Amino acid sequence: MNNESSPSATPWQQIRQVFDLFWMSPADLRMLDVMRRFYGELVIVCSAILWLDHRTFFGAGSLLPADAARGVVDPDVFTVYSFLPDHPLSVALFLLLSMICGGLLIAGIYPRITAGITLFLLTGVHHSNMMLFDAEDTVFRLFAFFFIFAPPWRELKEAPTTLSPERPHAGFPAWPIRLFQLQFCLIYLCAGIQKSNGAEWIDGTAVYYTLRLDDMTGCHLPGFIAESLAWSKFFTWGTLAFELLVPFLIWNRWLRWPCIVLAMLFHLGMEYAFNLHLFHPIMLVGLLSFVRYDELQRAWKFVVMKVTKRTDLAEVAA
Amino acid sequence: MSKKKNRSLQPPNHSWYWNRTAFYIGLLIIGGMMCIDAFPQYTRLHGKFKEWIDPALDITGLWQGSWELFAPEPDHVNVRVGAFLYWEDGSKTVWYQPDWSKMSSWEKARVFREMSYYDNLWRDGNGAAWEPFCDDLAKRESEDSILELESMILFQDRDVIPPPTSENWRIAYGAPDYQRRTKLYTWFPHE
Repeated sequence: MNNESSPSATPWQQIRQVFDLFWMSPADLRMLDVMRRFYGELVIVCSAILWLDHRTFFGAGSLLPADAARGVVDPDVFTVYSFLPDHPLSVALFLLLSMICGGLLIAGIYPRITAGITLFLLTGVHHSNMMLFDAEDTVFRLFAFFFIFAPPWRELKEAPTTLSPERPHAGFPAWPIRLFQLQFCLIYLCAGIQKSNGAEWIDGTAVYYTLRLDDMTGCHLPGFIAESLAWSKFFTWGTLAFELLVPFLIWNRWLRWPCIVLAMLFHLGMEYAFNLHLFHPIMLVGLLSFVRYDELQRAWKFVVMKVTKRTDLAEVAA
Repeated sequence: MSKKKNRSLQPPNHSWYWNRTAFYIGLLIIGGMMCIDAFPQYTRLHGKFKEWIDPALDITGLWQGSWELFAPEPDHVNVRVGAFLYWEDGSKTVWYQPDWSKMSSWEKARVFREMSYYDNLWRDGNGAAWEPFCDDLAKRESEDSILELESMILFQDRDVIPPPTSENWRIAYGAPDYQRRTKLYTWFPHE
């Protein structure tokens, strides 16, 4: 298969080739397994926290029984109560199964089927009380869908990352990881476009307001930042620039790592300053899709080397 | 037996992943729907498309909304839900939702779902939740009382954060200053 665009190709043919290369070039998808394990852990944490309150928020005798739940959600959707009786234990069962699925995703047991079941379970729980859920839960559902296409580790570890003429289908194309990368960029781009229409994001006061919302704030920032309009403008415009630029710049080979580091700092900073539950951890899982597995391996070996005080990288690898 | 052994020794073929036609058709349909759903709506035609694809995305659980994330305008109103409880002896008590501003960041992280619930409770679109909420509150408040509850008025208090001028500057992380009260719902006991 010749992936080089020939000089005689028309612009349309060249676009097609680039598009095809983007989705179908052979790729190392092992990072999907790392992402899947982190995702499984987050599913367990998210479901366990919900479990603690399931009697308060779900089913008969709770703040939102099945009849009322139908009144606050789109009529097309299915809920837990579409399959099970209107009782808190019905949602508890879905949450328990979600936690089991999280464990199976970590262990890599039937991961594609498990991801499909996770999508079904999370969707059912979310629709059973829409008043509890927000953007992070949407990311959880979408990632579950994308993991349906992520091959299991036993296939990933043996797959070649280059095309061999004898066995052209022995490896994997890039598209399963591209889904995560594009969704990650789509979230930022859409948020950036929306923000660019808001007066407070343009005049630089958006962060001033959010730091004065009683439910949104997390750990307190130092007074010289929280009480300064200049810092508010810096963070407001910085966020706007970040969300509008990173979805494009992260695809550039030279800017990929600066963008990854920036996105990591952005999410860790937001996690510190704002109370957004698991939104930032799940976005960091999405960010991992831009890190190559060999880069992660090198970083891990470097950490092991520092911890064990060994000097030879090959020795650590061995 | 030997045939089986040979097959297991060979690296597997992943031809399913390389089926361009199936992938591009799936991408066009599912990816197209997800993009239509996610991108902010500026035209009426986009709105129509969103309506058409909505049932399919709802059923599959792939809906994602427009990723507003504090946009286009960040919230600049603190809202508190409260209720006046009228008892059979003519007395009146008042109940308020928990005060988030007095909680530590750890406590806030623990009650995140409860915060989301109250943040949605006052919205008109969630009016179906008011009656079960009042039922639950009546049950909780009557538990330790020998009096019967006669009625309840559910309301919201709003604290609009003023723009950051030198006269109106609001200190960060302070308690909200609720100024406006709006009635949401009147509840009476029912069988």
